[in-house]
Amino acid sequence: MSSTLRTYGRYIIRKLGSTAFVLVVLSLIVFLMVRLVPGDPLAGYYDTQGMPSDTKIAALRAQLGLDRPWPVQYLTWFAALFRGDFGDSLTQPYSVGSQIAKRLPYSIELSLLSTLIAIAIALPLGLLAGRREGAWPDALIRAGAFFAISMPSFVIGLAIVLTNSRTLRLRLVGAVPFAQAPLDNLRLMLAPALVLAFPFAAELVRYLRANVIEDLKRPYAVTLRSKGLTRGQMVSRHSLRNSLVPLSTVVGLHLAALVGGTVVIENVFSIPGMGQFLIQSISASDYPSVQGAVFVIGVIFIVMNLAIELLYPLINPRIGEV
Amino acid sequence: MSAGNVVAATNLGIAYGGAGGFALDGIDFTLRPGEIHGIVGESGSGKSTLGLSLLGLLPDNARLSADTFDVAGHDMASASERDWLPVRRGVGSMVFQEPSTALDPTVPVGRQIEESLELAGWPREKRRPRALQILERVHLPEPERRAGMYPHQLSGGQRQRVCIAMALAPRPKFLIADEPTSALDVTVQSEILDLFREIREVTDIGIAFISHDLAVISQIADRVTVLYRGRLIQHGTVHEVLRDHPEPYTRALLDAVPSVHDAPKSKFDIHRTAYATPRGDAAPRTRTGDDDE
Repeated sequence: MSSTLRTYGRYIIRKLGSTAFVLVVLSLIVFLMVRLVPGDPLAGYYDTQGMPSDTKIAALRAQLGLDRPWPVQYLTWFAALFRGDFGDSLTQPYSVGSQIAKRLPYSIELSLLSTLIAIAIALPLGLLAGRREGAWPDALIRAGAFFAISMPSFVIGLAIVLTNSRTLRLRLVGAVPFAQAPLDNLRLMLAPALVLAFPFAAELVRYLRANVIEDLKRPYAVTLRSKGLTRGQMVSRHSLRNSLVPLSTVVGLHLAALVGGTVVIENVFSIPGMGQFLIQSISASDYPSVQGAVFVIGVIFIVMNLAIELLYPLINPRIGEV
Repeated sequence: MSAGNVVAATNLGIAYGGAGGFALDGIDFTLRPGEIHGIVGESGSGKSTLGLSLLGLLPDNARLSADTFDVAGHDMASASERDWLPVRRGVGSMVFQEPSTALDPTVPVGRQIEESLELAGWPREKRRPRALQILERVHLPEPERRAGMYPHQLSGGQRQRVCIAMALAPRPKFLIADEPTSALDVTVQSEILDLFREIREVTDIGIAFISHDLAVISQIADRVTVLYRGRLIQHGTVHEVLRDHPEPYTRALLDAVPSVHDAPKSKFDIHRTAYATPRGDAAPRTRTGDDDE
């Protein structure tokens, strides 16, 4: 229907407009945040080259543009962003853009893989638990979810690495670019992805279960029952779809959070991802690197949000209309 | 079981939970093909419980007992959830009070009707034509277009028509309508009542019509069962029960309905009635500027 399409078009434009605004605000916050954190990007120079004179430091500052007023620095950085230029690292001999380009694929792959695994685990278990509320499958699934949420992911990760080192001795640690060796890459990513997937799946199971139980208590569930649907049919044909909107929100935000938030697992499995990069850059007060990394992670968050919001009207026809 | 009844229950009782509490006790109820059987009572009388029990839709903690409980030829006195499925799938169906919450908000209404047909065992290629046909029969304008709409895109009256169409689509033998007009505007209400009358004329479906509204029941029902606190007060044709020989409780229900004859005759009367209220019982006067004269 064309009127539906038009409503959807207006909805998209509205969402795109607010997204552009949020991006600008994000860039400003990122820029200021980095400068509010105590630390000096030139600290590293003192260590490696002895104590330079004040004039030398001032000259370095001028060379890096750090002596100019922050609005000027901000606008310079922001203008360069539009050209896809994230600037150069202050402490390492590389451009920020090239580092991000190298590391982001690992982080995105790890997030996507663990999200897919988590959904694959959570969907059947969550629906089953909701359908059999209070029965033994529900109790079992809830206990498992409780365990998976309570256990810190690095404990599971270390347990896998240590057990493997004494038994199967598979190569689990390290990373290979997907483009070079897709199979090796996936094999190495599987263990960390699984470790990240367990608590995520547990969260999703709880969410789905609660949604299904709530949905089966809504008035239309009685109509479905009066039509002759079994509880299983009610869940698979109706509650699942009605749980997808809240579920897609959780999945999207968690996925975005994974991109920058997997430092610990990246360390356990020696994966050169965004999390590691960010932590290294923060400790070195490497302004352009931190700005670039945080900005890219923020953009992923916002784009995920946008994608979810554009998905909503397709799942639930009531959203997107006034 | 007498062959003329589509539903026949004797000494039907429904109890909830542990000791004492019963929702229905000693109810005899029959539903004949082609009739509208009104079930009346105030809230808490058990009329909805009776309606739900005819399709086994009571909550899990409800306990049903009956000397006989025949639903469309099936003995349902000790039926499990699974035993009820064949009855619900095309033999008996239900229309609820609130059409805005009775439909799945995320599925086009036509598809929801087709689902009923699917469960009743209709072959795939006949479902869509039947859904459109039944939407037309319940006088939903432009059924072809509306079948693709979601419930929120329809008005309350249209949604109730969809619910009725969904209930009628698989050609059931009986239909339970639980306050089907109570949530609707008065004009829409009378249209839906006309529709129920029309269904009675053109089909031989037995309709159990539950309502607290005696005016509605008197307009539409052939027979009436009056319930009070889970017990059967009176049962008979609509003329016997509501006009000729009302039991004292039925009489009280009838008297509780405000009639046009009791209305004040003029504006003056309204004022007099208002001012005649004893001071002490009158609503407290507001402390705003209205009463500073």
